[in-house]
Amino acid sequence: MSGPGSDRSVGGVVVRSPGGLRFVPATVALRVLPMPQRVRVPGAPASLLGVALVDGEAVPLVDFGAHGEALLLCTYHGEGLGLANVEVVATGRFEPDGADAVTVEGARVPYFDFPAIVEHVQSGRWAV
Amino acid sequence: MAKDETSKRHFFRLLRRTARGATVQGKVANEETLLWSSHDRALASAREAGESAQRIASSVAKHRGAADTLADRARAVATRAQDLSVNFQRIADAFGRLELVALNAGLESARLGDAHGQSLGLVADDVRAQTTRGAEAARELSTSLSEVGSEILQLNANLERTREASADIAQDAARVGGAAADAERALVELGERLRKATGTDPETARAIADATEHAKALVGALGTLSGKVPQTILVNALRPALEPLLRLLEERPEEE
Repeated sequence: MSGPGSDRSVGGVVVRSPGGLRFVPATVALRVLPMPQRVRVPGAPASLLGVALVDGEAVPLVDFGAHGEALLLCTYHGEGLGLANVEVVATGRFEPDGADAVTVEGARVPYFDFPAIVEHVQSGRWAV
Repeated sequence: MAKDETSKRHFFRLLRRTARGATVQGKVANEETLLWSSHDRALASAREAGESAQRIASSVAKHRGAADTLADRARAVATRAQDLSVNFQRIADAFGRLELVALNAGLESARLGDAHGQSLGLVADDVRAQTTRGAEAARELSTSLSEVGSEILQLNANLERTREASADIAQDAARVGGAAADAERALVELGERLRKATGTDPETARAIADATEHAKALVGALGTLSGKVPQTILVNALRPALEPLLRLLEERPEEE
């Protein structure tokens, strides 16, 4: 956790991705879970690992591409979305660095790009 | 006086003949002595080889027993190490779950904000740090125990090879023991045949060889003194010792 934040500080999770650290705000990140069992979706792109039951609801699991062993359960536009193979670096409140990043131990950490990954998963012939 | 001269001539003739005969017969006696000596040494060596083979077989049997016990213990320790490794892996997994709890507590504290969530966040961070350390230690222990188990299994494999080598040595020792027993029996039989063929035994052969050597030495000494000392003095001086020898020589069949 970061130190005491100012009134402007933003709460959330810092995760490690192949492209570097990314920030997921607490309004989006719900819980960190161990990786659940999942089923593949036929025809789905490789980045969509499958679907898992979390608290009785089917949640799509997107491969985060890191070497972690946890699942970060998020909510995006009111729907559940799981980031699989996540390595959580820190939780807490962090000072914003512009509109799309926070500062973590002096480094600029951009927000995780949910729209891009959702768009990638929904592209292709398998989704109609 | 004439009788004395006749006696002296007879005496020296006998000595000369005996000396010539002794050269040939001494060689034969010497060969027989050497033959019996070789036979005795071969027999003793065969017996010693048999006893050594038995001792080797006994030692190998003891070593095999010790190796068996050691292998059993190694297997038990390896199994125990594997069990412990699994248990430590479970501990590591439990630490992993606890770390997730700490992460979620940290996430909740971030959601609550500074006013309410700061204390929870501090505790969550501390719990997470401790669980991370505990999980790493448990994983290292699990890995180390797994390696120890593997090493012990390797040791067990080496012990198995040692046991196989011991079994081979025991078989070889048994073969050597059998061969030594055969050699001993053959040498005993050879000794019997030698006894029949030569009419002697080891002790007799040695005694004959000794007597032959002494006789040769006496004849040699007399030859050295011949011409330097009057024969009368020589004969008179040697008579007490030579008369029994003379009688023995006159009893020889070829002299009769």
